[in-house]
Amino acid sequence: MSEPPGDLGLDDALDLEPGLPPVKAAQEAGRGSATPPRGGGRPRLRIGMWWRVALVAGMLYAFILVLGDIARAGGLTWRGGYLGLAVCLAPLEAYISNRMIKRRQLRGDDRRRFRLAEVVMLVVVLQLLRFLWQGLPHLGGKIERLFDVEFFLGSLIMLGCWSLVALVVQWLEEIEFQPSEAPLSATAPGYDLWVGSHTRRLQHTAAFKHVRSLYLAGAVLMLLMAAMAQVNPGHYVDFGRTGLRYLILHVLLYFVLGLALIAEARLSLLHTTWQHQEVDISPQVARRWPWLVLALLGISVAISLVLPVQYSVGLIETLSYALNLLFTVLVTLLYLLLFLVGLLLYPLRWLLARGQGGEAPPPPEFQQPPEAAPPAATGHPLLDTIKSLVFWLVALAVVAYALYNFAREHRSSLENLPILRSLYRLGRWLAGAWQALRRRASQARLALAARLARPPAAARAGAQARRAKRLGRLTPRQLVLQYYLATMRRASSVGLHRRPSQTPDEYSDSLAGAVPEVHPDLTALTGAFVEARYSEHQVDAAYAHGLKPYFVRVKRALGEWVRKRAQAAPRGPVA
Amino acid sequence: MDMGLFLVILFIVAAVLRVDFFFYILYVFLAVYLLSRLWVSRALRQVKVKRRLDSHAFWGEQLPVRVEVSNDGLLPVPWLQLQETLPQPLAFPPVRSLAVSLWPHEKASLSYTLDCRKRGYYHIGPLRLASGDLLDTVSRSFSEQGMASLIVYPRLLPLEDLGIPSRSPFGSIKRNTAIHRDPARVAGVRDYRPGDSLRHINWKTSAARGSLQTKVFDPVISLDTAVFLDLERGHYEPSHAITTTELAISVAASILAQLARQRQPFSLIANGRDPLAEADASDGAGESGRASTGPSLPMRSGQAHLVTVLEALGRIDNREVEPFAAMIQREMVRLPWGCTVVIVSGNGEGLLGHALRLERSGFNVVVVLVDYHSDLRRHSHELEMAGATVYRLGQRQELTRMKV
Repeated sequence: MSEPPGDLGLDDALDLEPGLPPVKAAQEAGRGSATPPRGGGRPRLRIGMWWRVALVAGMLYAFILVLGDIARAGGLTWRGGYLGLAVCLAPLEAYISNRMIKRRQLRGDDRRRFRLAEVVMLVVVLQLLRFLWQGLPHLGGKIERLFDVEFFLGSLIMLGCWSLVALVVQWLEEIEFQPSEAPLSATAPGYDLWVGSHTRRLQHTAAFKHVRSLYLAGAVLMLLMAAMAQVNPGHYVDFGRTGLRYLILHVLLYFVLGLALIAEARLSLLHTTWQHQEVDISPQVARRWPWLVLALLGISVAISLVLPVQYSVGLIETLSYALNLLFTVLVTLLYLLLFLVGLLLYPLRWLLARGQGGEAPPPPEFQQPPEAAPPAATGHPLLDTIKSLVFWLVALAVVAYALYNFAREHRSSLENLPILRSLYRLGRWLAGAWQALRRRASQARLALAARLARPPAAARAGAQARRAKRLGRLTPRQLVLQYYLATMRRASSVGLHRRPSQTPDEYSDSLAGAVPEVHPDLTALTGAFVEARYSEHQVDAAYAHGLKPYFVRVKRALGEWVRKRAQAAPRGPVA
Repeated sequence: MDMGLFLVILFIVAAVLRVDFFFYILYVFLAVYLLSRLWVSRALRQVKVKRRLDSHAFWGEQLPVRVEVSNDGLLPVPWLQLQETLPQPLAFPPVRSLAVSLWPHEKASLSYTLDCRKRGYYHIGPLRLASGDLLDTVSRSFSEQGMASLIVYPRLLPLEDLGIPSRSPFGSIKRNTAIHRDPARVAGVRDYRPGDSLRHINWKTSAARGSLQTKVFDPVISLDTAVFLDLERGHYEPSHAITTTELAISVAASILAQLARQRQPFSLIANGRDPLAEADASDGAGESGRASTGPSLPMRSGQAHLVTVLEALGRIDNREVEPFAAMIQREMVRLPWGCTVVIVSGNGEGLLGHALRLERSGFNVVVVLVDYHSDLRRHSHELEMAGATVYRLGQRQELTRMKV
């Protein structure tokens, strides 16, 4: 019988033809069969699913081993080796039964009857294995002795594992590209529908996420169970006890197999997505995948072996020690500074002592600062403390990073929580307050800088005296020029510049337009300037000094003009 | 369960129970989590993309394109999905995708062929790259910054097939006797004969030879050819405007190619929208973003000029940016005197006035009407009466046979 197109798995496809892109081959195999293959025939296992079933079986076996550890830790005699064997067969059975249900399209009561038959069969197989493992019990004519506590407990565990595994196997199958999803020809009637359909693709991703979540939840459960088996429950809250330093092999087995399963499922999911998008897939992606996973895990294991796993010192003590250490460093620096100052002053002290006829003082000595005492710990206190410090830093980083990512990924749902909304409002208020504080500080800094830039009253008085002295040294001609140029400087500083083409008279008229009340003063200053600048006759000293009131009035008028203009200017928008 | 939540729980369990092995597991998961994120972001920075394709293609050409992606870094890229977006007229489906894995300094390529069966100016890309880690903790995607462009030249048709005589129909008309003299084209000198214009005496040569010499002008009057392409929608049958305007562009290109083969100077003036000119206008003007005129290429000869003209015709959009009347009025004053004006239009409506004006201005007017869906007899008769040479394309059946 030829293999139906739908049975073409990933690994099969990869081994079809080396030169042909596998997906194309799969598409060619799947093209034209828009409906899943029906009819009879034996269910055939795909190679990819074999691996997955084996991995799931291994993980379940590890789980049963941990159960055995718990039983032994509780003082019970563990005789459940057969249970491990039975649960290893559960994934295989679940996979085959899922395929049969799908192939025969069982629904409703038919499906329930099928499942019931499976349950009965599983219980019977479990008991058979038990009898093979332990031998037949002495019934003594009482058949009810077969149904003891072990029977019920074993069946419960077996059926629990089986139902979980059936779900996992179903998810693993859902990750894979289904033959019914094969791309249709562009001219096929349902092409548009097929192109626009994203539902199946979403289901693939959801199935992968289910598998991964279940694996992680199982990992937590495994660790708790392993801890129950290894640590005395009375010592759970004893933080002073030393850590357990041995390897728990079956927990390791669970994690290794689980990571392999997740990595393989991830590859399948990618392949499925690419098949949906009609992507040509290089065979190298699948070939290199296991090596890259191994490399990633190898590097991660190497890093984990370097990091500390012990904390002889608690978190609070470690933080306290770290702060103490910082304080000690600062004090040491201060002591060093004082020692250097003492060394610099020593010659002076020596000279003073010699001058007074006394003995030379001893040179200064560096005093030892107080050391930060490491917290009480066994072994090497400092080394233990540093290890603890690294440990807690890593731990805090783990928690912070995980929380950050969690908050980022669940931002929309977290924002709807009332307490977080209040916190968000508080955060916004604090941020606003901080901004206001910064604004005020900036304003204060500017005001201080302006105040510092302005000379104090005494300095101003000194400057005036110096200016008067300087003016007193000028000749009358220079004094006239000085008054006019000072007027010009002041006018320019308030924005009334003289254009290069303007004559003194023109400039005077333009200034008079701004300050008409001092027009006569400006005319007097300008006339005096023109006379002093261009005439050759002597300038009278009294005449020169007599210009000061004109200059003062013009100066005041310009100051007034600036104030009026500032008041008249429109203010900025009010916040 | 989320990976971040799992790490927190794992840490709490490990810290409370104080089992070293649990801490190792925590660290392994944490390292996987962090390394995956770091790996993907670092590795993707070193991925370089190069697209190899010709920027021009002839109609009907199968143009191979090769997109090379290389990993220039030291970290391998576990998987990389390339998704190339293509113009639909040239490729179906308009997406090409490839998933690869790249070792350090390894290259991979995505090759495909563009079927250049439609004239136009196309953007190839952008190429979208997506990658992620091995355990689905992180995925990243980004798009290539630059896009390649491709110009597909219009289809060049044999003029005989279009019903247009191909042997010197336009442009230079070679005469045995010079009916005009072109003082710009001096062929040589000869002895002076009585009756020769004194303005044509070559005084330098006369002085050198000791006898009067007259300039001899080239007996050929070069009638440069200006091709006006009318893409005004009103001049085409509305229900077939797209195909007939495309045909008009092809006809114009074919005429220009014929002129180039005959080594005659030619120019192209069209009133269609040029997307490249529009992009330049938007870069320059900032806001307007629209060129107000179509392409207007100067009068030149040679293959290089033909390529420029074909590029313009390849890019041109068959929607007008200005009325044909405005275009011809503006461009008429720039035409060299006596040149041949070839007007490629739809049904010839509204051309009579322009043809008359051109004829009276001393131009040789040739009109090619391409809208074979319309009844062209009336307009062509009017144009012929105005002195223009009119060519009508063959019947629809013939064009269909030619797969025009």
